[in-house]
Amino acid sequence: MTDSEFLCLINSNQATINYLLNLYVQDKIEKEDLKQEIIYQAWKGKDKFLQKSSFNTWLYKVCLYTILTFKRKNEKFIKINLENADLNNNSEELNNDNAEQLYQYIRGLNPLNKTIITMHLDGFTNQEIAEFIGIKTNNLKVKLHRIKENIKLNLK
Amino acid sequence: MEIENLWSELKCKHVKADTGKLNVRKLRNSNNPALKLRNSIEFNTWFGIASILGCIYLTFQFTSIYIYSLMLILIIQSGYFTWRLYQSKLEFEKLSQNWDQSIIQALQTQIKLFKKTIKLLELRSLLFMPLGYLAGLMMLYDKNSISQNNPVINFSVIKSAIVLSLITMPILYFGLKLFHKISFGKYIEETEATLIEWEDVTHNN
Repeated sequence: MTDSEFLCLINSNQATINYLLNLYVQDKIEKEDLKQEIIYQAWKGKDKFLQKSSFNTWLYKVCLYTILTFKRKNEKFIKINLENADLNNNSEELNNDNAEQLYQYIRGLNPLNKTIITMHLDGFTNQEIAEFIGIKTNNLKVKLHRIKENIKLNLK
Repeated sequence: MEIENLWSELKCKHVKADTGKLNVRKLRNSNNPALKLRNSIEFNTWFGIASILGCIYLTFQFTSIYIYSLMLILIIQSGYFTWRLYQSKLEFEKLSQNWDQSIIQALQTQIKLFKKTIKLLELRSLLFMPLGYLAGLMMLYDKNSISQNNPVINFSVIKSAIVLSLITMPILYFGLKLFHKISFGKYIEETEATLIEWEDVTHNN
């Protein structure tokens, strides 16, 4: 892959980088540092992109890998108190509230749980997630099930 | 409501298509510990090479066999630590490029590398200083007083070097340890805590 092709691909997939950074990092300066680091790591490893998956999927893993190995602070995101959330009867607003609450809830999870649920919701298979983290698929299934049950419980 | 449906809804909201120009800049003042250590290794490797070249140059400036011997020991010592630091640099680079390994493995390797590299830097400062002082002091004296024709070692030189070492070495060594603790201590602690938690998942269930 040439440098210009790579930059084009990165440019068009910036949204993936920003989305994952928003999920994992709160501090603005650390976000900026990590974004540069992700682009740098992706550029250094561009020849390893074997096109077995889409560039977006490859970049997703590079982002997660870099965030989890370079992240400086273990930040505590503000967790929404779902029990006291003011839910009205408007179903569309209800859904929007729940969507936002789901996002904030997932943001507040620890890195392990966050990685598991985010990758699952973003379409990765259990095997891919288990391999990425380094745990057995059975352990992952149990963990994922528990996380989803907790989310459902909190959103009801 | 399905979690998956909610997630696709909010992704549309939170994942904004970035059409702006990609802004890539060099990280100059990053506080990221991994980057700071990488920069420290880079600096110390070049410092090591400069020390070796300096020692080789000084060897040719003096005729004393004692200074030759000291310079040789310093060159070997500097060469060894510089080579070890360079190997650390390569291992860090290999680690950051090895996306085939799992996150748990990567974090474990990273912590080991961090601790090994920090110990290396501290050990080098501990071993380099006394010999450096001794060589420096010997070179400051008139070269006729310590030469091949007068092989008697000047004990006052050795004594001065020992005194200087005893005064400054603890300050330098423990100062460096404190600096490393401030720069990297929290990051190492948090990563180890994350690893313990992740390894619990591997062993439980």
